[in-house]
Amino acid sequence: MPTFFLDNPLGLVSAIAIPILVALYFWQRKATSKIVPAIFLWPAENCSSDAGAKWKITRLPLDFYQFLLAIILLILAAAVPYVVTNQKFPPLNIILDDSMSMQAGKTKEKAIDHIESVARKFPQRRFLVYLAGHKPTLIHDESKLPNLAQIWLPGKSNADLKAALAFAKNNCPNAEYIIVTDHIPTFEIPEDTAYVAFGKSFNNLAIVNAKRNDDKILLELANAGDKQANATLLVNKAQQQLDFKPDEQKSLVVKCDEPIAEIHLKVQDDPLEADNYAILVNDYKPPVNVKIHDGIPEKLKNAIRRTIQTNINLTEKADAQPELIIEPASEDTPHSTSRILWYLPADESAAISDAPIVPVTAHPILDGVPLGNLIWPANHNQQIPGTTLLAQASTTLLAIQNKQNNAFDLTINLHQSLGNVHRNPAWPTLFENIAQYIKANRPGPTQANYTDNESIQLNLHSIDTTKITHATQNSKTTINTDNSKKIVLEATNGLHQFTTESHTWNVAVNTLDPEESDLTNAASFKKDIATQIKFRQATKSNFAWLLALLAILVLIPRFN
Amino acid sequence: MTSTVSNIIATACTMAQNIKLAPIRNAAGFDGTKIGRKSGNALEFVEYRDYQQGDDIRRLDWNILARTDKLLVKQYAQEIDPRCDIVIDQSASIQAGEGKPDAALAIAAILAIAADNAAFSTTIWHAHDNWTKDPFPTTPENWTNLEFNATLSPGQNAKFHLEKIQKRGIRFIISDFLWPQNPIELLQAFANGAIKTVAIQLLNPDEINPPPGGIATLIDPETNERRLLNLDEKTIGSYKQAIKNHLELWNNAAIMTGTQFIQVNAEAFSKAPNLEPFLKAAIIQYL
Repeated sequence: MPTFFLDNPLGLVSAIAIPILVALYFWQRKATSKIVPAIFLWPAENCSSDAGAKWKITRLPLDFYQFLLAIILLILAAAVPYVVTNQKFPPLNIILDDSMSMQAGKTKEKAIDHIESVARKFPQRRFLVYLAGHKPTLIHDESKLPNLAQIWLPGKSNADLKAALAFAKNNCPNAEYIIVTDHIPTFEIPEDTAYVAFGKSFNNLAIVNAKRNDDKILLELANAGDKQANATLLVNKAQQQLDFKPDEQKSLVVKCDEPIAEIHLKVQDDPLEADNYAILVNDYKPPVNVKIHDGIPEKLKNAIRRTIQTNINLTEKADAQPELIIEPASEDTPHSTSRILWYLPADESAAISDAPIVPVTAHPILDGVPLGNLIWPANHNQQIPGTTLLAQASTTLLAIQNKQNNAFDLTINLHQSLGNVHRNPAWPTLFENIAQYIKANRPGPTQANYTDNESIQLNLHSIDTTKITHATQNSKTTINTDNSKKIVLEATNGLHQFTTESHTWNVAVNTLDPEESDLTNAASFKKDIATQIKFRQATKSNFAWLLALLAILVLIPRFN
Repeated sequence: MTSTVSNIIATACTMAQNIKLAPIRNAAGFDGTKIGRKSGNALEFVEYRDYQQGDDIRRLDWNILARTDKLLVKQYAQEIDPRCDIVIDQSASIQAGEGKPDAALAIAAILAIAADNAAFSTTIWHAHDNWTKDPFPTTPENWTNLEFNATLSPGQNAKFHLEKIQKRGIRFIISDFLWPQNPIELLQAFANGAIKTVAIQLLNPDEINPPPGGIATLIDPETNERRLLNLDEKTIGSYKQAIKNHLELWNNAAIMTGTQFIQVNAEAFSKAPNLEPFLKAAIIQYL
């Protein structure tokens, strides 16, 4: 049974007529008394129940039932077609532009008003609401429109409306779709899709990019519009005045020693506040400490040390705990630290092949490693344990074995003469990749600063914890790790702080995008899907008239 | 007495100034306008007339005969005592009908004045639970005890009170006669010893032909009996048949007891009192 009495205001108002009618009848019966001179001439009571009944339930007259039937028919005339057509009406998929430009002016408020007016026509149809950001998200699927002002808080750096429409069509086919945004369409809108834009062109001064490397911050600021503008740039407490010509874009490098840099671009009468703020966390990670085993031949040892000296991500400190041990493969004993195990074939077994060196398994350690022109003397009969990364013909040159806590053993099949490998660009690239790979797999966030189209990743290996506290500006939650070694979280705008018993990590997420901050492209636009709606409205109207006619037919005998 | 009652009684009294009760044969005594033939206790000379054969020779005026030799007979108006009793049903049920109490009092006033104009000795009986005589029967404006609140109808208590009424008079009873007791018993008792009995029935149109209505609680003001009824066409039809039978019963009883039965539309009469029903029934006549 549909709950149209409650859901449909018209049905509810109409339904009130029923208790009113009943109340009127009972009130009338109670109130109407008549003094008669000769009661004996009247027949015995004809409204009482059977004798002995606990409650005296009176039989209501025929006209009561006629009026009741007429009222019910009129309610149906008003409400049931509403419900019937609503239920038969295809679901409405509402795709909301979730990008921050929707915050400009009154774009969002106008959009909500429009959706609510569309929804009011058929309030009980199925409503699916999607937020179109970098990727679409279904946030509502019910036979009633949600409070959009509460659930729609646009703040993403981009909105892929086309992808969101495709997602909606896949999720709920044979339906109607409406895209709500602030700019004209950039792709062809299908027949079954309405497209409404409530944007208004503004001049806007914004931070469009922000990067940090240790204590240096690179900022890109843009004045999108045809007017001059000035602003105050605040980086924590340091400030500077900036003047912008029309359509000017500035790049600034600012130094900041503090671990967290809050950047404000203060502009008067700015139409969009969201893009005047950025937060950056110092992303400094100490270099990987390398220990070179004494068993490594001198030539190789020297080549490795030269590489360490020229790479800021590598260091060799004897008094510190090594993160990477380089030793001969003959020293292969179980070890929890990452290692490079050097298989050093004997002179007589080493040979150089003309076959190309090819990557066998994709791995970050091989990213960008040039494999051309390499002379790689190796033992072509040697079996190398682990997953082969590089091979020449059937010979494994490089293989990897993963161990606990993201540590690994990388075995290299390379004669100590080194061929030309140590003079090839592949050599420093390989060591750089190894250093980055080790750094990326350290406990904590894989990076300090994210954009909102990325996911925050936390490595938890070698951290003995079951719970992590996650605090943002507006919330504080506890994450149960379930012994997982990696946690992936949605990157929402602002500063995130993760705390375990032994560590605290800060992560910043920014929603900056030059295109999104250019509000000169915002515009109004409307494309409807009128033909289907009109057809169904006619059906609804005819049905209502039919029931109203029935109600009149029921009442006609009362007036004869 | 309320102002409404005062007004209607005053109107009735004014209307009745020029009427009297119509003469009635075999009344106890003569109509006051008739010349008495017999000597009484209070003979009053009226005129002379020529002696006619058969006249009592003792009535000759001998002095005139001695002086003028004319045979003249003295004629006397005999002071007779014709009686009229008017019973007003003042049971609470009369109050139930619109205008019925006013109509009852107005009709009683007209009859009382008409009886007085005809030199009747008139008695007004207020038929409450105990019947009482009004001390000023011929001056209706002075009547008292005019409440219609008796819990017993004349049908229930008339037989106990009719003995108080003197015989050989003309008797009027003004009521709606809507009680379940057998009409013959009352009318027989009422007519017993009377020269003439007249029953004036006050009914309203909606009592004879009530309109259909919704559900209502009907209340009998005398017994306080209540009936919850849906006054639909079926119920109304049943009532109409019952009252038709009831009226026929009274008409038949009136015929059987020699009672003149007059029906008056009480509602209309209370608004515009008129003499027509009584003139038409030859109960009254103009002076």
